Amino acid sequence: MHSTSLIYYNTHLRGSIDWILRSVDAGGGGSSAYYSSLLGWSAPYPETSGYIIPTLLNASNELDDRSLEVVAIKVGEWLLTLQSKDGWWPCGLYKSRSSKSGPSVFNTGQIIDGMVALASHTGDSRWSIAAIRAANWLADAVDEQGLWSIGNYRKGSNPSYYTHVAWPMLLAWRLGASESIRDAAIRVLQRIIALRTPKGVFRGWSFDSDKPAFTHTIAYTLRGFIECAVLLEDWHSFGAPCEAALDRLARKAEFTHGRLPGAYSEEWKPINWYTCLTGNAQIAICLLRMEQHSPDLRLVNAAEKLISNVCNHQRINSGRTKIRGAVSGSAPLWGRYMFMRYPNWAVKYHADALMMLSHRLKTEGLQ
Amino acid sequence: MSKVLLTAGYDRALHSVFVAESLRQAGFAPSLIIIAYPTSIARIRTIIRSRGLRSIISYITGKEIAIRDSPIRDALREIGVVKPSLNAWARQNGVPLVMVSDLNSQRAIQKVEALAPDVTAYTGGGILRASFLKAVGSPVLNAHSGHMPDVRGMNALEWSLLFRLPTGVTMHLIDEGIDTGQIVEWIDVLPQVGDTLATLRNRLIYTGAKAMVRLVLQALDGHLITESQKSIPQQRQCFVVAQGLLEVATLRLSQREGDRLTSS
Repeated sequence: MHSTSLIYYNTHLRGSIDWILRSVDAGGGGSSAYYSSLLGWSAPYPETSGYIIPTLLNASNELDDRSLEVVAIKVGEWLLTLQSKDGWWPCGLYKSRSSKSGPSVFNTGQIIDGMVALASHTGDSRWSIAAIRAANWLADAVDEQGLWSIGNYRKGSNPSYYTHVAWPMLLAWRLGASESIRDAAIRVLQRIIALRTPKGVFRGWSFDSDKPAFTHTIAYTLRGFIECAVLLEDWHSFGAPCEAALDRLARKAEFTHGRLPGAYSEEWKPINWYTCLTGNAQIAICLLRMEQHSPDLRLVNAAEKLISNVCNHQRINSGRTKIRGAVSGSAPLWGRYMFMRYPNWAVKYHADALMMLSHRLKTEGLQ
Repeated sequence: MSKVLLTAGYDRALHSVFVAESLRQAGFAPSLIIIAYPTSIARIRTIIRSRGLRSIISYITGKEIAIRDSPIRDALREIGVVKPSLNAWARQNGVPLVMVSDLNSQRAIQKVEALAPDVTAYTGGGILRASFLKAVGSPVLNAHSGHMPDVRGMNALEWSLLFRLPTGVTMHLIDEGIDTGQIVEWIDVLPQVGDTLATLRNRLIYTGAKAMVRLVLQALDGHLITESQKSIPQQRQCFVVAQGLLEVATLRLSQREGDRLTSS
């Protein structure tokens, strides 16, 4: 007998991927950053187009839909055209060939993720060359303290979610890049580890240092550490420090039936009036990843509640194709994170979370 | 004279009525019954999350949907209880009964302090806080439908199956933590062919109710033996099982039946 849960999650996965495909059509190469009922489709976003690639490749397998590989490669080829000679990718949304955007540390990292996925999937060297060039640029630009002085989202600010840059650097290192890339990534991680408070917060994990952190950037920070811990085979140094924060978020997810506060202060004071759906899906992924290290179905349970809550907000049967399968940045839609918009990364992380959860449930015997 | 306090979560809780009447027949009827009725939004929410919306509907309508197949129903008939209602039972036996919205409320605590019970049979009513336990000042017995200390918190049967632990009841004393108190005994309750989660849960509740009566009498006799829980580092609390994992728990139950059939 087929599991009703797996069927349900699979339906949401298909809806998510179909929405991503529409965002790529609308983006004319890359994936449109978001859809807004007021503004329509945005310009394509190189950063998130990069990390949508592994989602498409995994979904291709999961949904047995080879056409998704073709789209992933097309997005990758579009990104190759945007890479600078020095190896970096530009900041912000893509406007036009003639517009000049400077380098972005974070975007470059996220696009490496896509390049590495394509390199592993296709074996084609152009992806690995692009990934390693980008990782070299990142490593060359980071100083001895693990700080970048150029390419920051806020000038002069190196947020703690740069762990999510160290991770793709290590992916490139594993692909065959030099040890200097690994060393640079570790410097970044060690700088951020030092910002951990006794309550498990990593100071500076918000977009703005004086404002509460969306669960989106909290999850970026934690996920970066977890993936680095796995790649470096060093859970003690980089994974264990995240456990306190993740345990707290797991308990909160249980008490709220999967609806985390939209943001937290650095003292864990919650901002409750909205929830950040992107962050919820990302935290679910972090819990599932932590559970792979320390098996405990209680973590899967919290993750499932977070994912189910996002499913409840996903407009899977909407008559309006532009929002069918979309996931809003916040719930309610007018919440502070991505106000009134449906970002492509919300769907991306939701799709990733759905695939991880389904796999986990299958290992427990569901079919 | 020995004084027994009985707590309950609602008037028609069959297991609570069973414990009250069984104690009476043993010569130790409860001296006071406190029902913490689910009137607060927070408590209703907690009950819906832990037992589902049907349980609330059954309280309101009196149809007792969730416990239709309970072996306690037959046991109550056998001991002569026709109308399973704590209010009716208390009136009939002249036992004071208090309804509160929260067992930790000032009103409940005052009543408990005035009684100074020798032992408390906890058969429901929500989480007990330090203030209530301090007011009681004597053992508070609970029947937990899961293996302690491995399974702490809600949906203990489902989590026992998910963790591939034996199914059964842990009799323990309540302390300030969630299912962290001293263990009195473990009772195996094996799944039977055709069991669903609901039927097995009903047998666990019945087993716990019978053990509650026996252990209250033991406590009054001064023979209650407990053991401290072994400490399990980073032990997490269990919460209401999500849908996918609920399917896994159901699958595990059917597999256990299969194992039993194979081994027999």
